[in-house]
Amino acid sequence: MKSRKKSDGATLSRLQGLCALVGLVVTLAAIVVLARSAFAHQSPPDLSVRPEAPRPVASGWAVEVRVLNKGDMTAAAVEIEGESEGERARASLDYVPGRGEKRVTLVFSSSVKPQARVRVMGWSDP
Amino acid sequence: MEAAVHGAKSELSYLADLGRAFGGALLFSLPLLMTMEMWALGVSAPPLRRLAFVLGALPVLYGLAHYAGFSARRGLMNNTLDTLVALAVGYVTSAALLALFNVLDYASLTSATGQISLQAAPAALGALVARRQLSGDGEEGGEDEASYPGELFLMLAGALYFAMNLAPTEEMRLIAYLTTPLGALGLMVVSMVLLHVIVFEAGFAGQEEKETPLRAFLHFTLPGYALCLAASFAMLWAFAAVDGHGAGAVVANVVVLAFPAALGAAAARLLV
Repeated sequence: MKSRKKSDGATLSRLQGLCALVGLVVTLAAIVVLARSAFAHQSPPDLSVRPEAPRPVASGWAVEVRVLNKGDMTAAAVEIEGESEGERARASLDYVPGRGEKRVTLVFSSSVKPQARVRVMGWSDP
Repeated sequence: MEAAVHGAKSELSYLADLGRAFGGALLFSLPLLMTMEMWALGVSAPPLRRLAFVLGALPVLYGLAHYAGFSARRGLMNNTLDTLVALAVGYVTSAALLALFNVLDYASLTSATGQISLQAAPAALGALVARRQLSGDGEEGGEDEASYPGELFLMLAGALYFAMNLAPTEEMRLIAYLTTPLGALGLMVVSMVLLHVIVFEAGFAGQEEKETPLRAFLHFTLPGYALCLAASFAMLWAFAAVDGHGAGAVVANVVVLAFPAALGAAAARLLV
């Protein structure tokens, strides 16, 4: 161990102690969050949509839709479809995390304000 | 008075070590931080495997703190402290950069924690090999004093260090799908030959200088390649990359990832 310095109490830096404490707290917190999600009962994805009021855009009307996942597990490749007076609009999301929320925007080309019916078409496991 | 001056010097020298640790974390983890599969895995990998990935990294990080590390201080206490500091550096680096890139998924606490933790462990690994990579005193690594299990551990660390950047990418899956069984066998042979040639030619800790190529093959190459296969499988399992695959496809994926792992293991002396 020719190139090593054996530590003793005198060489311990206060900065080292402080940074180590930060590391301990952050790592333990992350482990607790991940462990809670790993060992808790995992309910399957349960998606619902909440369309917001349409707003006029250059190409017609844009309807922003909140997609909520009330399940614990992540849903992947989520397809959202909206329909208004025979016109359909679609958007997809890569992921909606468990207990999370994402937004998509559906666009309708009608000149009058659309009354969109929005639904989740399906998803797959990640 | 003298004690105060000594204390200030000690703090300043540790500040330099800390800077090096951040440099190492950035150098190693930037490719992963800028890989979109890693952002998605933080959310989509099964929760138990994300946890296993973080917990599994802890003993590897401790081992690296002993054999490499970002400061010259050693001992049980210092190794433990350096491991924790490396984790702090890893978490801060990953959280800051993922936030800057605006790729963090704030939809739920678990998703953001998963994304940061998956990047923090490799970043901490980078921080712990910073002394070797960034200090300029390349001969100061601890491998020269490593025992035989220690050398095998360093090969494992080298394998993880090199293959980790490739493991999450889609390209690895694609190569495994495209390669033929004969191609996979060829890749195994090439991996082992390269591992053997580099380890034997570069020389591991002076031990194999007394050994014949056959003994070196049995002592280092075979167990080293086995470690590469195990490390590759562990990474693929953690990233849920081979779920639902048949045995042949799993082996193909493991062998493909074990190729860069073998190069990393062989070059462990240079990398870690």
